[in-house]
Amino acid sequence: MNLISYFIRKLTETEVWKSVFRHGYTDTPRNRALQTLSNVWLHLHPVKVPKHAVKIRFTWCLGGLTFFIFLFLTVTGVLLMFYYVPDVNRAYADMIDLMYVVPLGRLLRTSHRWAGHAMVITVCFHMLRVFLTGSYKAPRQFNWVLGVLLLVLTFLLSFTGYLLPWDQLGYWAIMVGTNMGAATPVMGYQGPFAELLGVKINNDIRFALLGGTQIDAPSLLRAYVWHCIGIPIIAGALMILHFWRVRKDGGISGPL
Amino acid sequence: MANNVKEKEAYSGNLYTSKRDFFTLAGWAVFLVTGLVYTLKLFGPKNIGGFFFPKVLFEPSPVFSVGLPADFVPGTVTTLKARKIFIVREGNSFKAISVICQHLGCAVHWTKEKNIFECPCHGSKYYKNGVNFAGPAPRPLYHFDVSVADDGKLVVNTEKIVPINTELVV
Repeated sequence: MNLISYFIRKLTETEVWKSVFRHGYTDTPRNRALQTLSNVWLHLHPVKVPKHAVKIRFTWCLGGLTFFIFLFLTVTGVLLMFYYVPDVNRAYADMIDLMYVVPLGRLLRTSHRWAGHAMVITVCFHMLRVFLTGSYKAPRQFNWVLGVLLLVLTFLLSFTGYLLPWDQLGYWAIMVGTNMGAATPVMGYQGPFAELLGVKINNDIRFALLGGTQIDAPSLLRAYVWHCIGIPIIAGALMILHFWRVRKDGGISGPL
Repeated sequence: MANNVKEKEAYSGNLYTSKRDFFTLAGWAVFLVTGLVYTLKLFGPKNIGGFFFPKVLFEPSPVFSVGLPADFVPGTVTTLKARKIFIVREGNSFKAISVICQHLGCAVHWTKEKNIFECPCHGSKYYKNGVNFAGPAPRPLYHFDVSVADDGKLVVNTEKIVPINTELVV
């Protein structure tokens, strides 16, 4: 008996090995299915891929690209959090430190920003593709709704991240954005029907977003918490649903 | 088969089943009511004490003194940058006009040569009395309540928005 295959057999028969790897690698249909089914990364994929699913020019991988960018943003975002403090006296300086003194900081911040822009773009293209191929039609209506919610959450992630550098661009972007909130009917103090419910500058939706009547320390902290924790958790939960529905609604969309 | 067993269980021993039903319902009721109350407290409006509406603000007071009437030259517009207001004096009448553009909240500035307020962001223009006449601004600049305190100094209250023809004559 060959010594190598003897050791391999000894190794693969240990309890530790068997508790981690549940199936062999002999090329059988069952093992092929198990390879996807029992893999933590691959179990999202169907065990058997329909032929049309490998046709890249139907979906352009836009949803997958968006998810990949989201993962990238999560990793770079967490790394940025090691050096950034959402305090009005520190935020801008921390951002400048990231650009000039933190090792790898400039690459992290810049790629986080560019990836943020890229995610908005790929999400929009993903939606356009789904619309043009009619992939929102039955039985995928519910997944379209989930997709619209995820689009809004992507915009909100982009929006809340805008304020964090605490520079002029972000400050005025949030000023404009939250003032649009102030013009929302019923919920904003400048919107229609505001007087009807006694909605004022200190109890409307803009006030709840900013944590005050003006952009100040509470606004920065709120943008930070929503950006780093609140919205990613909600978006992550919806992504789980979104991917689950892709599988349940007949797999990846393809030409009829 | 499992369904049959369940049905049998349900039919035999009514007493236990109804007791179980009661606790099931009571459990759900407690869960839903607690959930509803916390959801309301968390995302509810200010008047029920919603979490996202702070009760104490660490912001400059909306009521503040801007100095004696004599500090302002007749016929001029004085910009109080930190207070975000203009003091407009015409003869003996005083007005406090907000610097916040009614379009999207940028700070307008007084252009002396043209005798108008201009917004640097999107080009809104306002006359000296705060009325918009160009650009995307939908309404006149806010005018705030001005009064005279006991020490003779002018006091502006930015929580009180007054009609644009209001003026304080000292």
